[in-house]
Amino acid sequence: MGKKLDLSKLTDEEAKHVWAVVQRDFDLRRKEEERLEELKGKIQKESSKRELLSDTAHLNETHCARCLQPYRILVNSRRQCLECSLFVCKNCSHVHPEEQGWLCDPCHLARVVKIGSLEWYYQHVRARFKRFGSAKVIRSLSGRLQGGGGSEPS
Amino acid sequence: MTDGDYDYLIKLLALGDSGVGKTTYLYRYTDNKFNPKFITTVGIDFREKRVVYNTQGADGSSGKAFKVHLQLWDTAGQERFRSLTTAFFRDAMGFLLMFDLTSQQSFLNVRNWMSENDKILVQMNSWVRNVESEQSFEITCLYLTCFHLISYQGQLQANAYCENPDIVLIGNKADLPDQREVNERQARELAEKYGIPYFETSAATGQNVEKSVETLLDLIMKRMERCVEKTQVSDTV
Ligand SMILES: Nc1nc2c(ncn2[C@@H]2O[C@H](COP(=O)(O)OP(=O)(O)OP(=O)(O)O)[C@@H](O)[C@H]2O)c(=O)[nH]1
Ligand SMILES: [Mg+2]
Ligand SMILES: [Zn+2]
Ligand SMILES: [Zn+2]
Repeated sequence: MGKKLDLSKLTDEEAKHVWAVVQRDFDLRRKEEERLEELKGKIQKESSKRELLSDTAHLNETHCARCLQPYRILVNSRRQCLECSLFVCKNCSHVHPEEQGWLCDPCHLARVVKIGSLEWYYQHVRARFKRFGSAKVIRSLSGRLQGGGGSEPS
Repeated sequence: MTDGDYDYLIKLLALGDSGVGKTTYLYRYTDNKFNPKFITTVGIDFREKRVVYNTQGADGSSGKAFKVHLQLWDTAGQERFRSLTTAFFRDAMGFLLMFDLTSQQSFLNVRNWMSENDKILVQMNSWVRNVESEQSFEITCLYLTCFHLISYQGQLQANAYCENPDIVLIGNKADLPDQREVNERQARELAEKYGIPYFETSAATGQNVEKSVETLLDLIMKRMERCVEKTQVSDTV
């Protein structure tokens, strides 16, 4: 399905409009990439904190694995994460979307990134097509509209 | 417009014949306004909107609220932009397939956007469901082979990110009953054949506009959750 896109029939005005739209799309894509990178960084930080904690397993019996505060019955009780099995306090946990139970903050975040990075979707796109729509259009228009700024991101 | 304070970026795309109301419908959705003027879309455009999506627990209890940033692709219905617009189909996770309730022709063309071969499609749909629940290898192969053959016929199937993307069928201009040319039963039957939800909307009054987008978003979010269930969360980081 690697047909080359022929946009030679667009008028100059039309080509300019389309160019501006795909530039806006690139902006959005770039911001999304940055956002996901930032989230991944956060997760990295959390996991090094956990390694520390695993050496002192008994600590988790009395203290939340995330905020390291002691549990307080009724006010901020303890719950076990379905994913990593560590105990966390109420403030540091989320309802698991499907199963009855809880996810700790870091596992929840990891899940959001996993879902949000949409690997399943991009895998399909990559398998079927070489580049995404905007990139394809830029490629076919770039010869014609010089100096429009911006190039195809990798 | 896009500060990074959201959980998911979801991309939807509206398609259908020229004049059915794609641009006006999206404008109603994002700005809650109606534009009676017809300014035909040049090639491609998109709008954005931030919404809150509520997941449901397995027992039907309300789960967690997610912030979703929507990118809504608006395509030109005019034939001469067709090769340009179909290049963008791959950039969407879900589709708003729209026709005009006051135009029989726009309804008939829905079939061209989908696939000519309705019978195989119905079969496919039930297989897809099986594949997702049972993961049977033989069925998957069979389904991929068959789908490969027919996917050339359907614009959407050939150009979307996968062969069975999430789609909602929309009959727009429901506020013009005197000019109606497509009856509801007809449209519902078609939607049932494809196994997709159907809504009658009006960009003029706002009827069902939000509901139809939310239904599509719900389908996509459920698919996302399913895909994560299949793989361990921990092996990504
Ligand atoms: N009464 C009524 N008019 C509508 C409705 N939706 C759209 N229209 C009108 O129909 C005309 C065409 O609408 P557009 O949204 O521009 O159509 P489009 O599908 O984007 O067309 P292209 O960009 O050419 O593909 C405009 O004059 C709109 O005001 C509706 O729900 N009710
Ligand atoms: Mg339009
Ligand atoms: Zn805590
Ligand atoms: Zn956890």
